[in-house]
Amino acid sequence: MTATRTSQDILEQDFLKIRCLILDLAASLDRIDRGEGADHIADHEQMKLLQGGLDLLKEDGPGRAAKVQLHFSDQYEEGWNEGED
Amino acid sequence: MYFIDPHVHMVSRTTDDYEIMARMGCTAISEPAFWAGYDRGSVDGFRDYFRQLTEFEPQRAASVGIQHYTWICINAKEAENVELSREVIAMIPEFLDKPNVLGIGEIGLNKNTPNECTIFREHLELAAKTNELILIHTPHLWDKYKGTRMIIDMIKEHSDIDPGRVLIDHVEEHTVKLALDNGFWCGMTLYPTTKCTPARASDIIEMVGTERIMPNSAGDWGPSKPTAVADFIMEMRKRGNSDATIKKVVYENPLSFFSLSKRFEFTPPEQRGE
Ligand SMILES: [Zn+2]
Repeated sequence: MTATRTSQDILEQDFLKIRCLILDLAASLDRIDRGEGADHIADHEQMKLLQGGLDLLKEDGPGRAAKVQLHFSDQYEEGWNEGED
Repeated sequence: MYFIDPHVHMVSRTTDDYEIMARMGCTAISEPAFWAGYDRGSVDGFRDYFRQLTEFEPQRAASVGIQHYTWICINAKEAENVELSREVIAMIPEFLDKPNVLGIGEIGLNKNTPNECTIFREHLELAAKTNELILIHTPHLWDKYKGTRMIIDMIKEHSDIDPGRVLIDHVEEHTVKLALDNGFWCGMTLYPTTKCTPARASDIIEMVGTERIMPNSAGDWGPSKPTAVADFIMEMRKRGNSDATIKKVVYENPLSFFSLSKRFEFTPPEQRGE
């Protein structure tokens, strides 16, 4: 199944929604920065995860959503159940 | 448009919710057994819950013209208590001939622990032995990818379980193809916070098509919306999808999957009262 709308349609229809999402993100990061101890937060594990997630948004699509999902996922080990009874 | 919500925990919802769902076009629901928000203390606690699912809820649903189906199991969260889980699994067959039971579910993993795996495998044993349909809960958030892979690995340990008789629920962008490419049915759960939205579920349909996939609300006692499938219909319409496409995923697909259960009987809304 293919998309029912052209890229331009989607852009025009969703522009304000996406702008709002970007603003939400910016304000959320500002909120962290305004908090006490902001100087040391960059090394925090969750902060690094968020930063990695943001970097993925700049990659070429489609497939960004799945990449972001995997970025925030535990590692799976192939063959984890071999040798069990 | 008529729709079916294939995953909603109505024991946690009011009769008003049933009525609103019916007004929006919901004609049937299926309710998997799940965690009540606290751990039950005994096998009798589960027996009473299964009676609620097979005796009381069908009546409450019928009062607004909704057909009620259900799935029986001990959920992954309480599966951490292996001893109690085994007592519950031994009791499940008491309910497998109730007319509204579609199969075993929602079984699966929650935190991907060894005890959860043990009890998941024992549920699979039972489902294979009794040839029941299976409804699978996959973990949420960071546990989901690993948990979904582990679940599929464990199902593949069973040559006697046909993936075409199993639905993997709560799929998202990174797990939907794992389910579909391995021959399973899949469900997308629309949750107002932290999980899939109607827009992302519509995106997934655009990416993978309409075969063996269906949305659900998974409405329960937490922040959730029992009318989420209607929201999905609206999102699909706004994008210009035909009613035939939408009906396929919100009505025909759940019916096709449920029809694989030997007990499934359904009256289409058009034939009601005939
Ligand atoms: Zn559920």
